[in-house]
Amino acid sequence: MKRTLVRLIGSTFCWLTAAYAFLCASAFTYQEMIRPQMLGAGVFARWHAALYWPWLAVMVFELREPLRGARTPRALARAFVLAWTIVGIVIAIRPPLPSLGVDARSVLVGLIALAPLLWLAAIDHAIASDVLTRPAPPVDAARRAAIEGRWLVAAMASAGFISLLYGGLTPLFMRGQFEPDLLTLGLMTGMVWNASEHAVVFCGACLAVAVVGRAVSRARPLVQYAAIGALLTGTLVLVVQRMVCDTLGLDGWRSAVVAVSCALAIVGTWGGLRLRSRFAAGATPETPVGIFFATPSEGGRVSWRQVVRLVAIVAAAWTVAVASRALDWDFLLLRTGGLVLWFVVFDRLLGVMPRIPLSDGWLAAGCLAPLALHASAQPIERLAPIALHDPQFSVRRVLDRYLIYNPSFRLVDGALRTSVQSRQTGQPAFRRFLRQNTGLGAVNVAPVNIDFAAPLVQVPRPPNLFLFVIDSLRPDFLAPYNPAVTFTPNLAAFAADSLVFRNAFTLYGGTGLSLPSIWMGAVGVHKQYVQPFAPMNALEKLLNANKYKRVMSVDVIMEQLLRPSEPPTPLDRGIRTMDYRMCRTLEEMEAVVGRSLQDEDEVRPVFGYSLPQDLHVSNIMNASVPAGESYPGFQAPYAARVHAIDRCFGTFVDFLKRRRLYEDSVIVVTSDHGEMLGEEGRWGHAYYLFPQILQVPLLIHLPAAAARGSDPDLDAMTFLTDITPTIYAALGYRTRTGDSLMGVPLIGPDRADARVRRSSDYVAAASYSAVYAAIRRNGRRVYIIDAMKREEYAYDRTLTGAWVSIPITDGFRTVAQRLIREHVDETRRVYRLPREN
Amino acid sequence: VRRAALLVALLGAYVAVGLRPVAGEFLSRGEFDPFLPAVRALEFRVEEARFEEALPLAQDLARVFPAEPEVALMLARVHHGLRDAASEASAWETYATLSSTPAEACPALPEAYARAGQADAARDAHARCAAFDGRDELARSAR
Repeated sequence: MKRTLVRLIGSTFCWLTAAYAFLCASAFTYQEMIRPQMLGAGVFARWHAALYWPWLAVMVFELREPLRGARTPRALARAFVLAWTIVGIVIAIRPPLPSLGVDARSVLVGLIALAPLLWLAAIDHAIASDVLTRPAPPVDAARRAAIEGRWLVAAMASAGFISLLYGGLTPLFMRGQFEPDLLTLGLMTGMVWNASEHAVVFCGACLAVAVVGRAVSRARPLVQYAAIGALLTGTLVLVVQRMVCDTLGLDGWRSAVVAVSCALAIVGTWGGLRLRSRFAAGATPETPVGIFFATPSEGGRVSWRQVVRLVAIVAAAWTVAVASRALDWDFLLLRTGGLVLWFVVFDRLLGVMPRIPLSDGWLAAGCLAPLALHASAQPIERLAPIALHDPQFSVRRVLDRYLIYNPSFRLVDGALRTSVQSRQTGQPAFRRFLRQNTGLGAVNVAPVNIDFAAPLVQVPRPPNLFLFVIDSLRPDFLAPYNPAVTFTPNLAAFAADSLVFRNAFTLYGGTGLSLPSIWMGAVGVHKQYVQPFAPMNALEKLLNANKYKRVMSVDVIMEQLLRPSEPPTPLDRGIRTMDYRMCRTLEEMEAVVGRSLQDEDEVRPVFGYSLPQDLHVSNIMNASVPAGESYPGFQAPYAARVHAIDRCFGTFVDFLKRRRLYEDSVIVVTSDHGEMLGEEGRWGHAYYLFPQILQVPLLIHLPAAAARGSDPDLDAMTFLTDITPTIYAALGYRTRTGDSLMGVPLIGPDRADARVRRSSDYVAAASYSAVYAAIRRNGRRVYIIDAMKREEYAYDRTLTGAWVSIPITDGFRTVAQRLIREHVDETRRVYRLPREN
Repeated sequence: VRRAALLVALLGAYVAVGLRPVAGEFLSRGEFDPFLPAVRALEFRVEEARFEEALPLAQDLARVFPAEPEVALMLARVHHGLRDAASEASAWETYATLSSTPAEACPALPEAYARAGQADAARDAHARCAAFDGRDELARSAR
């Protein structure tokens, strides 16, 4: 136990280092987590070199026994100390973490970080090699059958225990939620599916172990151990690839390397520690499974300690589910925690399970029953409405709601659903196509010129421009979009003399690509970022041509995109992007603009810009509601922050009015994307697309001259890519549109044809992952395909504005996927990328 | 031996169910797939407005996959590019017949008839388009 604890402390440092490096290797997590220094990533990178030495001291302490022990472990331990001391000196001279980027070096650093774990595992195996070399006790056919019976019964008991555990917790997690699909029938359906799918997973795993065990039963114990170790490693490779790499946006060889190295480190550490404990106890397990998992207790008695451990599992299940609701990354914590619990439950139950001589008939029945239920899922789903005399009943809909409140079922359903889903021809090819055209970090892309006006000459008396892109702001939390909102009176007043585009969408579900698309006024290639960006930066061209004085927060994305003709007056200087706050930024902006007006030499127009992060999921998770405020019907911490933003925005507008700047300014209030606020258990935005992420607010205040005669169709679809051409139009430019990827002005003589907008189809993408959406029927219908997780969704917007999930038929899928395919092809054509033929 | 065979058979059953989609993909080879090289070649030519080159490709595909609505749609687009309104209308009719989403042929279908100078057919197509929405699965699923 003490050894495990020391090893845990030492391993944590290795895993954190590896995780940091692997996060750097993915363009998605690099932009989303590392650059903005989320979750203390920056602090860890800065302190890594200093933390290294305490870690090495812990490791040397852990190695005190082998350093004095037999020859082979001693040599390995000495080499370990020597090698990692040298590495420590290198790290002290040149700390590697702060300079990591999206390249192969990050993967290499991650691998090196895991190397000590493998090295320690090798030392453990060398110390306890006796367990694997001494002859194992003979196992006759009857005894082997009994051992296998024990595994199977333990597997079934684990499935039952986990199903009951999470099934029991589900109503607790549902407290306070309105779930018409999860009444008695719905919950029972969920429970049956839950138990059956868990049984499939546990039985399948048990059978694999039994078959591999039999295949090598006559080999030496070392070979048997290696075979089971390889099986576990292979399983973990798949798990890490599907659960971790897909979530973090790691694809291709990076994904394979990360998955294999992580799996080897886990199984090596696990096997090594268990082997040493068996060695210390002088025990020789009957089968190699007995090394990795618990052996039966003496005399089959169940001790109090074992009971306490099972109770602790219940507490852990609850804790993981609650913690995941507070902070998770695409259910990564939830799924990883669930998987660890599966192993722990199986291990604990195997420890209390006696050998059971299971007959062939019972074995076959026990294994085939859950499989048969799983394989008949589709016919059952079809027949259920008929059998229940309820044509509206949908098993799938019930299960989709049930998994929101049952974390373990979410895990098992995600793993098994693809094996029963109807597959159209070409689906794997389509997903491959999307993955190949997403995150083109390593592909050389030359910039194209994006010009809305040519020649771009300075206009007389350009207005002041203010562009507020409030990260993650949802329209349904603003009074101009939702009459139930009472906490944004200033934005409501602003909307009264502005254009409120009621059907606005982002074409990127994440800041990384959404922000560039706003500045370009166009859809770009899926790459962070094409450099030099300046030829594509249509908004910056306009600012340069009209000699705008830039007063702006230069966030982690804009610092990569801007090449201004003169340095901007920076706001939020020295503050991390994630800490940008609307109120503080506006106070600064007010001061700078006020000073500019006092300076008689400064007759230049002002461009104010900021990307406040008040509402970003990482800031919302720990946010609280100020005393005395309440927001019934809304996600309260989020609403409280929207309220604060509204107050500060009102103060800023008052300032503009006092200085007689308001009437003659173009003021745009929007967001880069929406946000999931717990819908279907999902939070955030980065790694997926849903209607709540695609919809954004778009309010544009125009000087009277620009607003005159505009008369735009406020209910037709508009996009963030329309903002820049609209600013061009507000300044009086006649705009031109080169291709279908470019935005269109929403005002003026060249404004978007509302009829075309209402009847056309558009495609959006997640910024960091191969997730695409086809937006149809004037924004009332959305089809989403997640090529990483192999999932698809479709939603319709009702007349009340609520989004409801709708079934996806083959015809629907064909049309939507064609739109996405054509969009990706068009993007490749415009950016002159080679095609497959 | 019997127990070993049983275990292998049971594991085989699990693997077979798990690999069913892969098997389905394999068995469906020869069916229409939008990523067939011939289909992609056709799409690229249409996208680049090389309609003369696209026509024989589309006609070949229509011969091989006579019941595939996506091919009919591509053929309609090619005829549209070649300003052959009558052939375009005919291809859209095929699409509307074969597809479970016939409303996708609208309003291109009546417009093609109108350009071909077939006013009655255009009027009829407009009426059918209005009705399509009722039996179009996309529209139906929204209700």
